[in-house]
Amino acid sequence: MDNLHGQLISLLPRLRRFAFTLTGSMDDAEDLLQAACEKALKSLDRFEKGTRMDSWMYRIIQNCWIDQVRARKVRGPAVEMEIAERVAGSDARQETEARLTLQRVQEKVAELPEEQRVLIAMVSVEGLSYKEAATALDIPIGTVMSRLARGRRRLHELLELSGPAAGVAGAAGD
Amino acid sequence: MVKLDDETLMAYADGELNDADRKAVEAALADDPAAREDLRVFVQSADALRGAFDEALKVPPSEELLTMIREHQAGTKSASSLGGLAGFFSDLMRPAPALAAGLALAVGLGSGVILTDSPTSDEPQPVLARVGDDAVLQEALERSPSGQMIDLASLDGSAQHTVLPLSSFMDRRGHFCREYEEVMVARGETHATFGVACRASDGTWRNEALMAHWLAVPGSNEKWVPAEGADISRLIDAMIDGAPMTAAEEANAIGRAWR
Repeated sequence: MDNLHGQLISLLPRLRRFAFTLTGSMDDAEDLLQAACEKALKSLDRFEKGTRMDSWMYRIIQNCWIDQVRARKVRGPAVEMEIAERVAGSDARQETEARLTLQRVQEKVAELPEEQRVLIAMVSVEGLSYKEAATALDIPIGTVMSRLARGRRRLHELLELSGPAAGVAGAAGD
Repeated sequence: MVKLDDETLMAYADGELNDADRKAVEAALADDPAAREDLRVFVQSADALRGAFDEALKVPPSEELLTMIREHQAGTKSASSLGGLAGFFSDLMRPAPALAAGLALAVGLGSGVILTDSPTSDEPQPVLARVGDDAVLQEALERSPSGQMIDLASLDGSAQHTVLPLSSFMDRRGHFCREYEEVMVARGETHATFGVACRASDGTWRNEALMAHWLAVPGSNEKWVPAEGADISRLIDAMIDGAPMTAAEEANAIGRAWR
């Protein structure tokens, strides 16, 4: 239990998934995970034993990610658009199928504002409770809920999951 | 009267409400078709997100990252054993050259492990091609005893799933977790995965790690390797609190819906 390094290593698969949800790219997730682990090791003596290392690491990853986003001064989707183009050009049946592909979900999550994306990553992908997410990010639980609800509603719109006969209406567009 | 705003409906969908609030929401929903429509937003978005990023679980830690952690450990203490996943990943994953491309590779089937390269593609393959397929795994982990094979058609009938829960245990966070093996056949391709999933507070099972993934394509160059039973248990050793559950404890937990 006091083997913090071993604990960190056992968390790496989930930490990489969290980083992937934030960045939308496997390569960027690798860089982010590397940067966050470097930071974590430097401040390992400040980790309070008996508290949850996963929440501590999520917080560090999120901070590193915000730093990277600011440093790049690039906003908006980091994902290539070729998948979207392929979907747009397909027939209705394939489109119904493609609507639900994992890549499409990944791509649409990457379009969400950072503050919503981080909560989607923590709660809806990693399975933290609202309270755990609030503690990890040091924000009120009400803020967690309002940001997460807005992000989920927006994602639902982007994925065009609602409404009868979705896919017919947009078929004529570019 | 409870107010059915987005936050409340989402908390209901996510299993975040206590019993009293949950019942109040259900009573209010019965008379409110518009709110029921809004509820779909939160149920469907949760379904779409669960498992959508799991391909990242299959990627082993880079040597650079492991070295950084090991060196730091050596610098802070007298060298002690690392344990955990480091050995697991390096032992199991190294024989598969496709790994560097983020692809997949090794899965236990029966009493052995098949190692294979993907012969047709350099692109990472999704573990489960579509969101709806996750329902099959959820059902099996929720209700099926360990050692009992569950054979289910996926939602639209286009894929065949076999899920075999292998063991159950409590992790150090106090979550129920299960080790399982899953084989999915769809469009002539076989996808096989070893996984460890834990039950989150909203009642869904979420993968913590995916140990292997095998994409079998006719004519591929598979190779049969004797299984090292210790590999998967090393991951669980790093997670487990106490001992694995007995069959009786597990049956009891399933009966109580893991509460």
